[in-house]
Amino acid sequence: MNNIALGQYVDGKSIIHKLDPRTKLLSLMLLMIAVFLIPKPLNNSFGRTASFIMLGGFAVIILMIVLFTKISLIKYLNSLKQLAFLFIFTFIIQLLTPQGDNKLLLDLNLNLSIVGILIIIAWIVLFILLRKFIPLKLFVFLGLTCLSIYLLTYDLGFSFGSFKLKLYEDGLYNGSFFFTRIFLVIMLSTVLTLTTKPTDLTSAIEWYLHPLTYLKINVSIFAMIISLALRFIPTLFNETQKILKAQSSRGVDFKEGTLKEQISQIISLLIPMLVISFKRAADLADAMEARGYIPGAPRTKLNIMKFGLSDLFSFIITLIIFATIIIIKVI
Amino acid sequence: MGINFQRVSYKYSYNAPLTLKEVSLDISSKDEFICILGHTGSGKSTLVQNMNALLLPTSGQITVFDKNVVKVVKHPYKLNTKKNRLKYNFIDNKKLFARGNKIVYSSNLKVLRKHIGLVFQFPEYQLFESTVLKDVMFGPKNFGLSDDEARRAAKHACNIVGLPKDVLEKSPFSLSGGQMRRVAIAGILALNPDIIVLDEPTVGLDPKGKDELMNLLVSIQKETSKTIIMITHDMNVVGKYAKRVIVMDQGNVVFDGNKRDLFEDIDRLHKFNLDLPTSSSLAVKLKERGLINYTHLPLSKEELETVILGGDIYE
Amino acid sequence: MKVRFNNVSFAYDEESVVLKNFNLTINDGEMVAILGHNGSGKSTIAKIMMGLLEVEKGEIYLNDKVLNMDTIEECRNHMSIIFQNPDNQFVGVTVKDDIAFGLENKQLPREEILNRIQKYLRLVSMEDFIDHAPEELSGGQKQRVAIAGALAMESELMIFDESTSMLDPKGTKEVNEMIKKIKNENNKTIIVITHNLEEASYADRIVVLNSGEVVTDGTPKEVFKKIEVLEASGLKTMESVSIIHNLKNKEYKNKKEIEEALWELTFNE
Repeated sequence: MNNIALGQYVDGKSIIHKLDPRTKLLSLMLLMIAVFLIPKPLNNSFGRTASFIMLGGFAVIILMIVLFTKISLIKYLNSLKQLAFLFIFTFIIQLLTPQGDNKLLLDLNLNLSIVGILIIIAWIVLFILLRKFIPLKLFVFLGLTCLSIYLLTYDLGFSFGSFKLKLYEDGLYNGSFFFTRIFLVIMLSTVLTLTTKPTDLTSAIEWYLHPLTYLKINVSIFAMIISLALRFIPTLFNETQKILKAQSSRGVDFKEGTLKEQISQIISLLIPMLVISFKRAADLADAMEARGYIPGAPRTKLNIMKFGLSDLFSFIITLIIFATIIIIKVI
Repeated sequence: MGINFQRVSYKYSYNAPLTLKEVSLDISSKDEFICILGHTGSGKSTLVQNMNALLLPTSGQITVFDKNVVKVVKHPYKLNTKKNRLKYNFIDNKKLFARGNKIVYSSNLKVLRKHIGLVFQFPEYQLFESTVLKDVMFGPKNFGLSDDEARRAAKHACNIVGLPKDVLEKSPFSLSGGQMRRVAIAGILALNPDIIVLDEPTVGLDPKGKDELMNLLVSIQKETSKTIIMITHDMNVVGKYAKRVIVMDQGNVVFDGNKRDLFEDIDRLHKFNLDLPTSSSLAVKLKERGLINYTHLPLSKEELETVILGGDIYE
Repeated sequence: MKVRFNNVSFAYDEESVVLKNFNLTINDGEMVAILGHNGSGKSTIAKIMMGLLEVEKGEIYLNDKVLNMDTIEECRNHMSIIFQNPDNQFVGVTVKDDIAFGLENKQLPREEILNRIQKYLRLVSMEDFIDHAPEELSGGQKQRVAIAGALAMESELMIFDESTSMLDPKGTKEVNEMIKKIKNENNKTIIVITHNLEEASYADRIVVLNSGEVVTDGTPKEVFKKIEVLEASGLKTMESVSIIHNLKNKEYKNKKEIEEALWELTFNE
């Protein structure tokens, strides 16, 4: 009931789903590299426009891929949500760092006046108190921030100092550029995880690592390890929940107690987990051995990967895009 | 009064179906021996985890010993904040708050866990300390007892479950499966809970271990007259030991009462997908062949023997 | 497949001897139940047979071929085992992968593997679950998949090592139905390791173990009567047999008929 989904795979029958996982893995990787190869906006308006046109082009391509997967956009945005903070943070940092010709976008003299600060604190308190009722919290918060900055430009009395807030025009361009770039790369990796079964991905990785066998490295064992890990992550997750509940019945409460008590409480979770994992591992090893598994021995491949026409087609398109970027980069 | 459930519903996540559907129950704090039956997925485990606030209801009210109230009412705005989740200190939380429910509670949930001691399935997996005694002391210490008090409580609990003295200083991992389970049960008994709840305590034990454990529970109840609630699949255990039976089916309490009423109505029993105790089904077949006769269905071996010898069972 | 243990001894460490001079012969096509309490050494026997543990002394013969490090891989082709914990023997990410696991190890051709998966999933009535992940299955269903995986190996000997002890009544019933079906339909040698006498009641022969030694060996009817021996081994006889025994010295109406009926009901559940 409390199962965590294995990866994020969403079942579907779209063209992207049906592609050979090897094609998907390599193509999406190439596209990601291509996105990273888009030149940074230069200081002149031509370079800037060129960079953003390329970025826009990629955005269109990636949007098309996303639409082809026939998976709802919400699923994609969800995977972005966890990284939203990182996005905004890089954006703001870029905005505040002087670079290029240091052309200023905004130059404000902010007064640290007691009245002004008090008003801002009042706003923040009000916001926290009322946030249950506020729709679109993030936007309201951003609005409030802008309003606070605007308010600070006036000296409302009892000022005890001032500082300059400088926003740079190049920072704005660079910020938006980096922002969009990370966004696109994450979208691409999400396409891969949403449309490919973890097992297929493992097979694809195993195939690409095949050359390592010439170095006497046994790739099939690694593939087996990955697939067993995939198999047992949900099981162990459920097990953790169970132990956590069992220990809670014995009064474990991770939020209180001295440091020493907290350590013993964490140990009360870790040791049972270790014991269970070892037991599972031993049982599993027995079961695998009894069914004739010999590490490294040749086995039949049940999941065969087929490189079809659509694979060839999409791979060629990817190569063309990749080559274009390389050529532009070189020129 | 021990535990009172009023229209308690529970679901694991927003989209999931209800695991408990407006369950109302009243369990006294003394002298009850309750068996909870129902097939896998009927909501038995969810029910008992609600009893000691390991899970909090989606709606409804749970009262434990008159003063500890967990009450959930629908609320128009969101309370899904990290702080609240920490404050109410429970595990399965996100979805509950995300749906905008409000919890009214009148005591710390940890206090509630001290009243209701819950022993999980395969409790031996919760052992972790270096010695048996230390492991049993872990619970009492978490509830604020001093080292000495905890040691006394632990020794007493080990004595009740019949662990020999020389075992106390051994590592719990060196014991046999049956003994490890006793240590785990002692770990809960040492908290001196008012009501003991066990989730399938006999599963995985061999016949002798099963009998010993059941006898242990009966003797605990005789000595302390504490209420014991156990989830079980073993109808022979129900027939022999239960004083009251609660049957769960798809999140509903479909039966709550006397075991004889349950087992004598064969059609209803089949509807619940339950079997008769072995002795009862033997008795039914012997009666069909006209070999024995009885007014009350024998529920245990002893009762069947009485009936075969020509006697009758008196309530 | 004929199995013979000849003076086998085994110990995990010096203090606890699990098997001592153990002798047992299991005939081809026979269904034998090995009974014993937890810790009696019964699961050790299964592990020794599968070559998962190495014996200290003595030999094991499979069809008169001795089992040792050189022959074990070949021998495993003729035996399959279903363990106790349904989760810990589910190797694949889906039902299909799991059944295929042993067959992939055998390097059977891909088409053959796919055919066998279909065939044996149908046999255990799990064909609708072919793409399901283990988390979506009940314990009983997981054990049925394990049985399908074992059957798909088409081995001559099947060992059930307490394969119902972690299941609910429904799962236990499902697995036991499967064992009966295998017994009736195939000419396989079956070993059921259990502490549940009901599961042993439809075996051809019951062997009771205590502290690594065979304490009794016979047909279910013979063994069920030996109440003292069973109790000394931490086991309980069937309830019907126990009633007959308890009332042996008492007089009551229809005594003969009741005794007969109880015996009959012992084996016709």
